[in-house]
Amino acid sequence: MVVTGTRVILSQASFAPTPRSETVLEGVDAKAEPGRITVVVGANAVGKTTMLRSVAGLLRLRSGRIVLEGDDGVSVEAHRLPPRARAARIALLSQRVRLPAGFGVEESVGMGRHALPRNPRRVRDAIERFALGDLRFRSVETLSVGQQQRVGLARTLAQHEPGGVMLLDEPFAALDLRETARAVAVLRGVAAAGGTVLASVHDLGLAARFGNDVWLLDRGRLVAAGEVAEVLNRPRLEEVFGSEAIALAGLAGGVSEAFE
Amino acid sequence: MVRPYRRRLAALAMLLAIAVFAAGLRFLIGREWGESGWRIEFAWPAEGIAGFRIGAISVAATVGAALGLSGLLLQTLLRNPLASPFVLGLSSGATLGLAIAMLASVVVGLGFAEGLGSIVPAFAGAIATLGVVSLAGRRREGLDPLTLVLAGVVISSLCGALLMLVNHLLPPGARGDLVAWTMGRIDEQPEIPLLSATAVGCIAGIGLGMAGATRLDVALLGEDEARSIGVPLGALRWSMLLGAGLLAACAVALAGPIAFVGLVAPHLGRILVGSGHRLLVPASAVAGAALLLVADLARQPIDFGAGRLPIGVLTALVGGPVFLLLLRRGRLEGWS
Repeated sequence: MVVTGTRVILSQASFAPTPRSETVLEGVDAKAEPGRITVVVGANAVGKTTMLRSVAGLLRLRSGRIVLEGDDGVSVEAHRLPPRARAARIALLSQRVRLPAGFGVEESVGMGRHALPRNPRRVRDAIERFALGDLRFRSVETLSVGQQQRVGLARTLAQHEPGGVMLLDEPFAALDLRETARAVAVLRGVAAAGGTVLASVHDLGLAARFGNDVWLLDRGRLVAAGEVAEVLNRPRLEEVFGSEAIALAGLAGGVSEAFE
Repeated sequence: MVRPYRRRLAALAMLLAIAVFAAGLRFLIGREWGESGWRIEFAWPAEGIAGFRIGAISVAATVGAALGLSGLLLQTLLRNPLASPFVLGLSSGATLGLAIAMLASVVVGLGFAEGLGSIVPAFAGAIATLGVVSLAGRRREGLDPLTLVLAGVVISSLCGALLMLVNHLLPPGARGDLVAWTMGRIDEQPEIPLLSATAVGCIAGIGLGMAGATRLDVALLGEDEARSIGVPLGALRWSMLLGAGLLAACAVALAGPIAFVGLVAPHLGRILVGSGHRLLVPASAVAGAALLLVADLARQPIDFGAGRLPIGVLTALVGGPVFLLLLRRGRLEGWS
């Protein structure tokens, strides 16, 4: 049976960025559902990147389990999957997108298909969806930081297989408003097609509008998980980020209603 | 803009043509002893001489290709445009390994310093220095390019000091051989097994590199992204490390330490065929061969009364400024 949806299940998962460093998050129980966008929110250095890397199977957990549960009923741990099978199941966009110099945009996006069956149409489609068509043959080192971020997103999209998991670490950090809106639309499309999208987003207003569900992290633990409207309420956010910060976010971004 | 594939392929063909042309010229140009001393002659060589010239051409092409490939593997492995067997101390390590083997063969009669067996101490020296340099340059977020280069400079100096010690310990009669060899030499009567082994290593390196070209491309991405795309970097890095060490060791065993070819050849290849390894692997090998053939050709008339200029001296004199030019023109930017 072909997997058309994957649920990510964290059970008492404790995370550390390196085998020798201290645990940054402990005892996390949460689920990211297929067909939905789950945003991970929390202060700097709370462990968002460590969590995403662990879900991707690139880091071992200090304790607990993370399983990918397919709608065929089969559960696997990402780090136990062979590299090619993992690439077909999970696509990751790192916080710092690294694009090797000397490659064109099309070549760089095509790298996402390295371990998967060749599919030039999907590569071209990913390029078009992020409005990179005119830049197809440009060397990536000549692009702006925002354009490079879009190349990274397009590469992740080219790698993403239907029913798989897409992990995005601060996918909008370098994008302007128009490109952010475009990326949000593309990622909503991925979720609508049955994909599981799990993304860390530092902008609370954007997180509130982009996500269906949210995991709120604070001081080494998962404070709350659930639908955005339930979790991102003003008292809880003031508790995590402080009332001054929430007031500032409301003023600066015009997003105060999202927190009511 | 990246150039279309056909134009990149044409650039590779042009590079190959330059290498063949340089080899042809080297076959026709030689030094002849005349009444007024040595003079340069441009003519079809006499029967006894042709073999020597073919020997020199074979050594220059093979050593250049080995250095070009080794440099490319190191630059990809470490994601560092400054990496090369010479800059990172591999050549110095291989030289020291061979010098120690030479000392051992003189003092206790171990026969590791000549022929095919000389690859063993050269390889041991190369890998040991690369291990030390990589350890020194390791940071939490990966290998730091600048620290690697600085560590390479320090290790090269250390190897240079130990080389002087070995030279000091050698019997006076053997010292001249070691000093001449450390200046780099294109032997006109090479040891055939050693030359053949190096050539086979180069052909295998080109074949394997082209077959695994997309994996090498992906290895240039960030650690997490490469692994999540499906390239297990651990095994790939070990094979690249061993390949780079072996090729550098073969080159040193054949021709002594030759500077900058391993650094410049991959950059020349990138300028001509781009960064994709499917064409860059053969281009780096051909560029290395062409550079060393041209260098060997250029040194033929340069004689300050003590014989032809050693090839290692010439490549260092030309390669140093080229390296500075690469730095200044920003050709090394966009990495890491």
